[in-house]
Amino acid sequence: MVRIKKVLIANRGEIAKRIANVLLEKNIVPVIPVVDKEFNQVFNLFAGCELIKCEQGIFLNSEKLINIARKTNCQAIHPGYGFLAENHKFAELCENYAIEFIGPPPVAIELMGDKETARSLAKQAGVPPVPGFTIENMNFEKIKKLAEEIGYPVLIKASKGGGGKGMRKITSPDKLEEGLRLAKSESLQYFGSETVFIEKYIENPRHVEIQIFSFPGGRTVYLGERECSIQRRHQKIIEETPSPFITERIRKKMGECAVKLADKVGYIGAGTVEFIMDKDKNYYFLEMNTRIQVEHPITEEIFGVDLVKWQIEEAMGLVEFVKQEKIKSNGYAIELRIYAEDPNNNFIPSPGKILLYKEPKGPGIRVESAVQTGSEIFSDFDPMIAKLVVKAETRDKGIEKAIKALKDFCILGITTNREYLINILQTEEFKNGLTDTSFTEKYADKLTNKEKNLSEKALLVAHFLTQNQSTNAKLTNETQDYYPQITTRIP
Amino acid sequence: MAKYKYNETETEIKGLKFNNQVLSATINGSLTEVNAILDGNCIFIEEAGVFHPVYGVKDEKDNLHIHFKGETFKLTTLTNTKLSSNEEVASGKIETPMPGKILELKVKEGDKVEKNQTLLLMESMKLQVEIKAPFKGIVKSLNCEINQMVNGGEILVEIVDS
Repeated sequence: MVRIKKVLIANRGEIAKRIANVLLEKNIVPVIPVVDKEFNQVFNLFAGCELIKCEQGIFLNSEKLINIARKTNCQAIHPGYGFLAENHKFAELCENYAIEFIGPPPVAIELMGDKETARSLAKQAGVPPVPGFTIENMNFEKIKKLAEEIGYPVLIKASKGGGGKGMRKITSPDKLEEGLRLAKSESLQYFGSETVFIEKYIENPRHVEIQIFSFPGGRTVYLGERECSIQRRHQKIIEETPSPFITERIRKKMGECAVKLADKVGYIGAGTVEFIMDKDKNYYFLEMNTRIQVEHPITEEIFGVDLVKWQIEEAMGLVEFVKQEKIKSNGYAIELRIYAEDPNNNFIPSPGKILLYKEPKGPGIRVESAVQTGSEIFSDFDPMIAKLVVKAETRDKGIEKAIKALKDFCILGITTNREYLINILQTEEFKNGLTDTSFTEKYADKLTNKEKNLSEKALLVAHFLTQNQSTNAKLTNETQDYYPQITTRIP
Repeated sequence: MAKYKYNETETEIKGLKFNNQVLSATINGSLTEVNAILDGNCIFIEEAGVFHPVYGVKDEKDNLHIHFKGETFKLTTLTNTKLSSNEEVASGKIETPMPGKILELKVKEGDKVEKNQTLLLMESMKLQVEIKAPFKGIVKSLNCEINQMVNGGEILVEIVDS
């Protein structure tokens, strides 16, 4: 058993809050680096946590993070997702300083982080990857020939990439050369490596991923799938479980493949094996994410587990093994990612100040966020401001509940994709489960620039509410109860 | 008087009054009334017997943001003469914005006041409300006392230009 009294959270936003809450439940003190300019707007969201004021860029600075962990006597570091979560060197550095890295062993991160290695391991585990090859020391003629063997369209990806960055679809051989050049430069820019990878482009696939958890001693279980086909520019926006597309038989097959793959690399803790699935339900290995994922809550909702707690208990040596047969799901869950962006204006980011923030509430409604009235959304951070997670007995009921919850979600001051999400959920195609990764492009016309009529009465009331609000209103955290004219509440 | 613009539609609001849970104003020339109940940072309005919350807030550029029945609107403010210089009060006759009780008088007849200086405090629906001077001037008359109950629309103070 590892004595853990303090844990450094090397992350920010909703995931930092999510992890902090679990730590606090276990009487562990969370230590959280907070970027200076964010400090005043988040300190009250992290009650009971040790907050360290830091400079911008802290979450990518391994050395500094380790220093903070050492100075504050942390026994472990939770990396969250993104930033250094899948950086095996950071995990190794933690090990070198005898700080527990809450995640898989560095070697597992390294093996899965390299696309080519991951593909060959997947093959060995009986999970066929999408046909493709890595470009290394190849002349263009050879690349062209291999690409033709695979068949167009093909997809060029950064070997070290993820999250849709550095990806290009090439529809014909004459576009290959330019595509390669651009993909390489993007890859270099984002991932520090020019190595790219070409694979068969599967027309309108679905994105289905399996959540796994590896208990110590090579005992891995799978916790169903998540369908994350509703994406925009390769960025997930809606995830659901169970998928409306796959059957119990396929779920079991995919789950067993994912378990085999995890065991092959000596995996520990939470991980996700991503697949793409064509319209005939053939599935291909895409990649393995060696971290907790943004969309983990939907799995938690239907399986009644707490994956972050399992991660922490695993690090403490206290996690209780759960047999595969005991892992049972119940109902349906969906996650909607709320972004600060303007769907009616080409999805440009819309940073700014949230002037009013009110989350929906009720049974089966869970909001993960770290913003509040008065929060400034900065353009140099992720534009995701909240995740709305809804649970219901069935998919139909879940969609109804999600629409209601989105309507009740009041975020004023900045433009968000909230209504865009409602529009997606309201389409017949979504309701019928016709979700594939081309969805947002295919139905773009239905989803944006919808005509809205403002009720005169609502305008009258809003005018009354704000009439005495000064033009340069300085809105602070107290604006939750802000009402113009009114100065004091009389008890 | 205030004028807002949403998409290409302009809306002009004049003569705002809030009395006995009825909010009324002349909108684009016609009188509009709505049953409204205050609830902290929002107001519930009645539509065919059903109450819906309206959330409204203004940003630093004076845009009006509204959340109503699941939809969000952002309106530009074209002209906005604040309540303090409303037509009704431009004369210096300051009305009660809503019914309530007078809590405190901050000025007396003959006092010189600055613009936005607090004239009196009143209590309405368990909320304390400040009534401010619309412009710089002299208090000509003060028609209320502490603890007096007042209706919406009563003229409480009259200020004349100095």
